[in-house]
Amino acid sequence: MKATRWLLFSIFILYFFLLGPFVIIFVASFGADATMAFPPSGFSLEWFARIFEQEQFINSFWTSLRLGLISTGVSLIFGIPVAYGLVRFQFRGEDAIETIFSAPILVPGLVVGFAMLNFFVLFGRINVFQGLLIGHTAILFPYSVRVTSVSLRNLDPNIEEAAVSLGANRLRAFVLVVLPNMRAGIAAAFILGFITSFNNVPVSLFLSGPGITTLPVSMLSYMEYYFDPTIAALSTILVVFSIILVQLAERLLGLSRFV
Amino acid sequence: MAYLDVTGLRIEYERGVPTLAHYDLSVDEGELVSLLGPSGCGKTTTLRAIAGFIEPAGGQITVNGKDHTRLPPNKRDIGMVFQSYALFPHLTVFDNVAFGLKMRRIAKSDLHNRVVDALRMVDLYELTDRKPDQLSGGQRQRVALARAIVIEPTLLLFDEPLSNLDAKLRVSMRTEIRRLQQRLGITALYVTHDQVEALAISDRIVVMNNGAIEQIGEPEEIYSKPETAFVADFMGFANKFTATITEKRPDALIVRQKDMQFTAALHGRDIDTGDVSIFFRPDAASLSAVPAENSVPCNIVLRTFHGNVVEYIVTTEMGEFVIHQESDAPRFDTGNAHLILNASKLIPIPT
Repeated sequence: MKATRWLLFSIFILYFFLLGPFVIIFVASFGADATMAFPPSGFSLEWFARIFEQEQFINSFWTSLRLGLISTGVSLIFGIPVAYGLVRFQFRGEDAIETIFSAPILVPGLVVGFAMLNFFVLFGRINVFQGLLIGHTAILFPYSVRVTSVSLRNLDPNIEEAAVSLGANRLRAFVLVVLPNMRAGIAAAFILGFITSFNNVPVSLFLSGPGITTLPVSMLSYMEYYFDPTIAALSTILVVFSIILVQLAERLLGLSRFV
Repeated sequence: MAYLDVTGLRIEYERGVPTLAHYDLSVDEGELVSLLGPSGCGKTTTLRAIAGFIEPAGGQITVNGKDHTRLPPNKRDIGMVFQSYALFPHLTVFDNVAFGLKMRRIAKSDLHNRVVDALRMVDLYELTDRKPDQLSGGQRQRVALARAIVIEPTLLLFDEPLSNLDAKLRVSMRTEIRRLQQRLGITALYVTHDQVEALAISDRIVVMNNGAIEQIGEPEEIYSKPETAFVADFMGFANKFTATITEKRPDALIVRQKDMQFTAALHGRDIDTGDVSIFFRPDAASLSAVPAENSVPCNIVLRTFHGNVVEYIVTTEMGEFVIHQESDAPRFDTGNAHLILNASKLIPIPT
């Protein structure tokens, strides 16, 4: 009995600190006060309207969207062949390579961003968006490899040989037989990658430049000057958007099988 | 030259360490030959080398006079049926079967007819629009079979095709595969670890062990005249004792063990002198209350009723034996008796 009570208590604490702050943001975003207040003194949708008056949010939203879509796509184009190699072939140094590919998950984002900034400055000639693209592709790459590996591991390796024995060469067998059966894994990797890129702050913070920044970074800089509930309203939209995306992925693909 | 000729095949998974060496095998046109052996004996390796999935380190493979040794697997026109069925999960039954024809750029109407014919042959015509996960195990394996034969392969390879099915289905699928293979006159190589399956389905059986061929023969020969201790043991010769040859007759050996003397048939084989192991099946001996020729005193330790047979565990001076008697044979209970060995079913193998 006592153990159960402890368990319930821990779960409560966990959710309290995890969800509590969000509840405050959520409520405050509908508030009528000029600064963040909890509980708010009245109900208003003003702050939601305010978001769309701020050009920096609109611009950085499109940057984030483009960045998320392209970097996820590029990381998959590189990640799928790597996943295939790791799953289908045994070779020396396989473990080392797997560790290298998961390094960007383990290294703190700030370090990655800082290192990349220096790296790009060294080479010069890379514009801000390209820099962001390279940075995001790099941090998404391990996710792409890992998530697509799972769907490959669940696939009977004999189906490729069956395709080859029926006259397909290795490449056609991969395109006609392996790729279509990785659809769910690729879609899951895409959604996960997109959300990761869209929410990323540390790497984007270093790689943003004049005129081009991502949504989370522009939210951060907005907060340095204003303390009105616009950010709360924007956060509410983002959270709802993420929840819908993940729920959709879970329904359609069973996302939790891959992560 | 046979239809399928494998000569001096050598396979190395690890450089310098052969999994197969000096491997020779020939299969005639229209023949079904089984590769039989325990796991790790090299039977699947042989099959995969013939399919082209493993590059040989030496030797030659020819099919119908054409050298296949360095031919890429997708250029071989060899059909393959896998234990895991290996159907394409995202394609319907029809598209699975049509895959090989599409790779060959067969015109649409011809393709349709050939797929339908193949599906009719395996009795699956009604299920053309199903996906593999909507089929039972037996149905999946029939789709795999249709997919392999529709390309009119020069050779059909089976890699333990029935191991994932339950016992009853195994027997009916086995019959179906054999009938189809004979009807189409396809040359086939069939890998299995199941003796009963190999005996039932094959024209000839190749018994393999440790990457080498132990014996090649028709099912009857393999079953009743094993040539090596491994084959005898693998084919169910549960009993064995050692003896020394004392005399050679035209078609039999007289052997001695301690002060006992037995006659063992030679079945045309040539063994002269030395020590031999005598193998015999549980049904190659009978129990008797009185001594007779080729008999030895025994002590019955356990009697178990198995329905069609009664099993006795007996001990003799030569060791412990398992003996099967027809259910209607006279009943013996635990205690002393005599074991009469059937001379024509005692198989001497040099040690």
